[in-house]
Parts: sequence; C-alpha cells; structure tokens
Amino acid sequence: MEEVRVASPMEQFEVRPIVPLHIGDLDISFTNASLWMCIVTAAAALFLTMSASSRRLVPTRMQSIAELSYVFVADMIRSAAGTEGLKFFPFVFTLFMFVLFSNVLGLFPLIHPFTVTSHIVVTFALAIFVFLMVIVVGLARHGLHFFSIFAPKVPFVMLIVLIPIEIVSFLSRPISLSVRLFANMLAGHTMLYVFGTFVIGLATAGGVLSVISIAPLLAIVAVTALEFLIAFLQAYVFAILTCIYLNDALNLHEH
Amino acid sequence: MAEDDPHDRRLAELEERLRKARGEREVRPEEPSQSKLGVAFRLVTELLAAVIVGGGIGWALDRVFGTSPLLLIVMFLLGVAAGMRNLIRTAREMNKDQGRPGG
Repeated sequence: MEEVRVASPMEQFEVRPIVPLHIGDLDISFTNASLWMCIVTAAAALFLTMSASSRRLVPTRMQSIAELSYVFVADMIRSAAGTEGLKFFPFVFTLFMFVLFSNVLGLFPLIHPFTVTSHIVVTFALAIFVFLMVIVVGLARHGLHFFSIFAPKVPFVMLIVLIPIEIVSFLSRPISLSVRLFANMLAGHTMLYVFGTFVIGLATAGGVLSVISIAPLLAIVAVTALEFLIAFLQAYVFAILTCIYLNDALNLHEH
Repeated sequence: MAEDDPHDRRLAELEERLRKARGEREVRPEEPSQSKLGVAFRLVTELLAAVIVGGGIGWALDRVFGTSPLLLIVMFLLGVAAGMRNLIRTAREMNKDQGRPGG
C-alpha cells in the first residue's frame, strides 16, 4: 500500500508570490492573492457589463440575474438605511459584488481558486474602509454632533459608564464584520479539504474501508451546496451591515 | 360618494386583495433566512469582537502608561459589557426582521 501524501488543509490558503517585487525592505510582490482579486473584479465587471449590454425589455437569463442583483441591493439599502441611503448604492453594490464573486469563485473546483475573502487582511481592509466611510459621512453630515451616537438617552450618571461601552462597541464593528466573513470562508474551505482527505484516505485503504469512502464523498456534495449558500449569505450579511452602519451615520438615534 | 356603486366597490375590493397579496409576498421578500448556525455565529463574533477590542485597548494603554495590569482589566470588563450591548442590539435587529412585514 503506497503512502498518500496529505498536505495540510491550510496549504490552500498560502499566499505565494507570482511576480516578486521589492521596494527596499517592502515586499510588494504580485501574489496569487493579487491575481485572484484581479480575476474577481474582472469577472464581476465583465458579468455586469455583458449581461446588461443587450438592454432587452424582456431580459435574457443573464440580464435578469444582473437586474435581480441590482434590485436586491437597492431594496436592501432602502430598507436598512432609507431612501437617503441610496446615494451610497454604488459603494454598497461594489462591495456586495466583490465579496459575492470572491466567495463564489473560490468554490469552483478544477480552476484551483484562491478565496481572497478567506484572508483576514482582505476582509479587514474592506471592513475598515466601511468603518472610515461611516465616520466621514457622519462627520460631514452632522459635524461634531455625530459623536452623540456614543451617548444614549439616559440619566447623566449612567453616561460615565455607558459612553466608554458605546465607544468600544463602535470600535468592535470592523472586527466583527471582517472576522465573520473571513472565519466563515476559512472554516468552509478547511472543512471541504478535510472531507476530501477522508475520501482519498479511505478509498486507498482497501477492503471495507474503500466502500465506506462513499460517505465522506456524499458529505462533500452536501457541504459544497451549503458553502454556496454561505457564500451568498455572507456577502449579503456584509452588505446589510454596511447599510445598517451607514444608517447610523445618516440618521443619528433612529432605532 | 355613492357607496354602493358596484364599480367603486369592486375597485375597493381589488385594492384590498392587492394589498393582501402584496403583504403576503412581502413578509420576507428576498432576504435569505439565516440558518441557526449562521445566527449563532453572528452573535458570537459580535460578542468576541468587542471583548478583543476592549482587551486590546487596555493592553496597549497599559504599555503606554506602565500601569499593567490595571487598565487591561478595566477595559476587558468594558469590552464584555460592550459585547453584551452588541448582542442585545443584534438580537433586537433579528427579531425586528422577523416580526415586521416587508423590508
């Protein structure tokens, strides 16, 4: 019986340089992560422009997917941040499409994808961008009055305790936003990989074990379906939370 | 206005039916229903993030002022409180989403 070399389930998340670039000590190599970010962006842009270019009154399948995603995001913003929030439609839509495409493209077999959203650097960069945007929008709209979101309407004595709590809670937003997306993607892909090694391990073991190997194989099919749902759901959650946070900045104290 | 005008009445009935039909459809229009695991995960990250941020700030401030471990403890506790605050807020949002009709 030959030894099956099983790589670590974490190997799939490894960032490898494709074109090594260095400025002084700074490593700015073009990596597989950069490549897949480009692919994701190009795929999303291509999909939307191609599918919308026909502009038929009765949409084709592709066009209707594009239109559906437009309406979906627009409704989401309207319900979470009001009609005013629609000003930020391009921002939220871009964010949603980027996250959705990287999640979904990362699940395709055979093309050896790299899921950029399974890296906390990427999700945290997106989240910090949302976070800064909320602060800038809030300050631009309400000036220093924006900081009243840290002060709930309670007696003064309570404020001494509550303001620090609210500030910590506010600062925790980018962390929870990014960790949620990253952890979901990381866990999903690791799980798929581990089940995959079960299949190979059992199938090559011979005898009864080879027959049993069908069980993890079926599990992979089910988990893959679940992962597609999660890929969509996490993109949705990321976008809706962005809307909720924007709503806080647009309309102070409207809960 | 003629209340018993058949046209008016039928129009009103149609309006009523339309509203009902729309109302039913709009209960949760396209919002994907979160799985139990998803809900649990969301709540856990809300709680953890605040604790990490609180603890992190405390640790950093301790290093700056050399008051270790006083600020770490205080800020950690504040972080837990903020985490609870996040939890309650998120849970309330989830309830609201389920209760109200439409977006």
